[in-house]
Amino acid sequence: MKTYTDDALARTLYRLAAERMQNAGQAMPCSEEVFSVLTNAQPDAVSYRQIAHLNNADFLEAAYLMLLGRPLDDPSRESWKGSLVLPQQEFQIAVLKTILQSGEYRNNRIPLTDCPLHLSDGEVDQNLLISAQAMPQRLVRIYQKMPRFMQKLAKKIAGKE
Amino acid sequence: MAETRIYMDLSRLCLTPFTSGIQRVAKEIVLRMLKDPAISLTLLADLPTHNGWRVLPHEAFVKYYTEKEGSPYGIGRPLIVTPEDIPSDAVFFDIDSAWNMPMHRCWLFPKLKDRGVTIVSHVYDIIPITEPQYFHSQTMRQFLSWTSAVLQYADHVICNAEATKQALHTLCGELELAPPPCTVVPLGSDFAKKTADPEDIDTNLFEQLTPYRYLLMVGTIEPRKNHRLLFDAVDQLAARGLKVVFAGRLGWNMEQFAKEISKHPRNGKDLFFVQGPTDATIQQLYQQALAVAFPTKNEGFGLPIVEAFRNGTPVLASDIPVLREVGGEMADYFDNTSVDSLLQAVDALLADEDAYQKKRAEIAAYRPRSWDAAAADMIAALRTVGNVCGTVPQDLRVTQMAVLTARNADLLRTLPYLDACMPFIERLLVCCPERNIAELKEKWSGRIRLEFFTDEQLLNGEPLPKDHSTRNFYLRCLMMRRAPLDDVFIMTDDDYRPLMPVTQECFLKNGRYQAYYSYDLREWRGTQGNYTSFDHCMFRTRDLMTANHMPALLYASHQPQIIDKRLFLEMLDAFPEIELQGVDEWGTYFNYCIAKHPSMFSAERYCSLGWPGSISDWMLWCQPKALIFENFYDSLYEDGRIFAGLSTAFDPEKFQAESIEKIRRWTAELAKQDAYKAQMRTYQEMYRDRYLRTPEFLLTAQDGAAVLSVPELLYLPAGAAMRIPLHAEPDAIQPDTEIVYSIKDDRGRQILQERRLRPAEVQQGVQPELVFPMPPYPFHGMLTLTCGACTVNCAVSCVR
Repeated sequence: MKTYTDDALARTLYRLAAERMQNAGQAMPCSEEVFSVLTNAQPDAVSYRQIAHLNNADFLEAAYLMLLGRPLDDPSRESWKGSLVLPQQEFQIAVLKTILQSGEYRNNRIPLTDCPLHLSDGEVDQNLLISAQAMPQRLVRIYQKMPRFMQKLAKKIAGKE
Repeated sequence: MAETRIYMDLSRLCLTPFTSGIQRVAKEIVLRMLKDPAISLTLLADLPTHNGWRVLPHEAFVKYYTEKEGSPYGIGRPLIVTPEDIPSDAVFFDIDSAWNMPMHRCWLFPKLKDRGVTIVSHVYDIIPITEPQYFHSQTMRQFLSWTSAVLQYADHVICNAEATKQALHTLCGELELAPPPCTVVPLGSDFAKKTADPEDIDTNLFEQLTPYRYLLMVGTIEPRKNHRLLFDAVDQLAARGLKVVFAGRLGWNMEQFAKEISKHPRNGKDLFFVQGPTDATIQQLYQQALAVAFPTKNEGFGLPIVEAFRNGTPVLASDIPVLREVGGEMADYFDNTSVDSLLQAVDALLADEDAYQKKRAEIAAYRPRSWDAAAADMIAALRTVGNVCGTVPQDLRVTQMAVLTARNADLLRTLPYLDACMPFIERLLVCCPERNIAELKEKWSGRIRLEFFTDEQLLNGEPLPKDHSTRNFYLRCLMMRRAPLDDVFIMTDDDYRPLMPVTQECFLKNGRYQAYYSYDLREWRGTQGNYTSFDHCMFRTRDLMTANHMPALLYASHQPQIIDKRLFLEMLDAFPEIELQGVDEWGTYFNYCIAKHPSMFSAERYCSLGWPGSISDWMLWCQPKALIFENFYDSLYEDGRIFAGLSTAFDPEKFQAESIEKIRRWTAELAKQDAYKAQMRTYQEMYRDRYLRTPEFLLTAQDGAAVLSVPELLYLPAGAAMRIPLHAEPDAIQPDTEIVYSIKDDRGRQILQERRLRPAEVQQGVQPELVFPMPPYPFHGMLTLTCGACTVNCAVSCVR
């Protein structure tokens, strides 16, 4: 009997299924690398380092699955097609910016961690935290649960924007 | 017999508006399990953060799934449970479609196994692996991950058919894996409502259908179910005066098929598609059908067959092993690739009306299995594998304690506490240098009888290792082999003091040895840049455990713990090389035992204060379960420290009041730590909202040079000693890489003196961390970090 590490067993199962898919004339939905990354992912955060090494096509698949919780849809796949040739870092910044700025991601709120890429276009507001900390915790929680447009409105009313 | 504690994650059931297929099974079984007094059931549903669950109130759950009222989540503030909260002696039973859940099992199961929780998985089928082409890509991918977790970690598997069990064994054979123990529990088939509610019946539909003149196919429309075969036979069936009814919801990849149905010239006349039928409609459909057709390519059970039988309706089923097993002699079979084969089976039914009616009568007399019977079998299987009572004899009496010490003074100060608080302990075996014995004999006259075994007897002329931890473990090993120890005894140190009366139950409960952990060794960071012998010992223990696929919790919880000498020796036999490797005596023993003898152990959170010596020495991994013991440090009693003003020696008059006071002060400190963590979480969430990323410190390599990136703003709670990880790319770490950091406030005053972090000196596999001890007052300022030529600044807000 064999002893597998978790990842080795998952990969072996993947290859088994891939062989059967091939026999049925179909392709696997994602590469073995993406499959392995997804199998080993934490459920409550996405570590950039876990997906940074993937090639552009795999990175795109993994980013959609992990940050949005769904596979890449056909229109999105089509729209990214031309960008797959971009240098890796440039491509990754573009993908992450698009996903992280989407309303869909804001609803999902799975944090992206250990990402050295600069993804924000926003200005640094050094007073933000200080002023927010002065707010009662309950108000902060209410603020956090607001949709983006309401947060903006709330800030406007409070004279912070 | 003690009740079995079962935890069930029903996240998918709670999200699914209809209860068919797996969710139907989950609902029927759970409703019955809730009625069983021998079971303590905790129902769980996923939290939005996916790292814990909310507990579903039983009443709300039952009301929702029996009367369709309210919500399964109930009302009010939910009780939150994390994987660490599931007790060691509990069973985690996955009956729902767990592969679809965000808290994936490859992450969850190792956490549960670390503490010996029994895992039982319901494997409905393994068709996404054997015939992956029939499944949505997402489902197939998730199923593969889930299966790997089940095969690696499940203690027991429940299947609904021998054929599924066989398929699982075949898969394990292909993978050269030992198959998990498996119980086959066939499903029930009675509907929740025994009699159809006439209001729920689709009367329009039945006006168009003549009794016994239609073939019914029940189930989600999906490629595997092979609706196509029946669809292709519609014209020939119509020629025989038969209609075709598909009842179910539209599944994956069948939109085109649905269009074909709607465009079929016989649609609405000889062909019907009833989407999402009510239980009442489906029951009447079953009762009035000529037969139920089931041309499926593969199944885990084939619930429509037993449901048809329960309604007295004949079945024409695919000739595949699982359906032969479920349908037995009562069903008729056909080749699921041939329309002609199907038509032959239909013709056989139509050929002789008397024979047909006789068959119906025979089926009507047949009593298929009920959900009550299925639930009873499932409960029996769960109770067998997950009995809360362990296998340690209940009448075992522990009377001996043992200690390794060279410090008479410490032991003599601890002895009165043991004497007063641990009445079941009669003897203390002291392993010490021979020269210490006379003083101990002279100065101790309490109830506990001292027994002695000298270091000289232990070592028998062998040299003693120099490293503290290596020496410690080596001596413990010698102690197990040579000292006059009982088979089961309490091992302690000379400075572990009880804070209150302690019974044997603290160490041995419900037939399980209680093992107390305080950390996850895989996350142990130690004192970076200045590792102690203890830190190295923890790293070695971590490596030993992970290399051998064992749990890796830290059991050096600085409190007395129970040891079964026979199991300790068994561990040494299994790993003979470790005696001189300086591993941790608690961690190796308990992690080994929980992996090898889970029914004898229960892993519990630690119960000691004074561990760590100062709470801010490191970020706590978990809070203590209770405070029963003290890891005594003289320094904690000095002026300005946490126990200032309290006695350092046993005073029977003050003992109780002072213990309460110590617990109060320590609990307040723990609460403060919790508050700091909560404040940091709020800061991180706000930061993410604003900057689209987590506030982190990163060290990367760009063009051969180290580059630091820091958050735009750092919030730190006043008075806290926060430890923030530095995510460093391996390429960026050179032997001489050094990060220097300091904080000045907005008036230019130095708040944090220069601190240095050398990532190369950090143990491999451990994340380097920046340490920020903050003053107790708020300020705004600037953090400056320098690494080589790279200097970066970060605004700091320290708030009370």
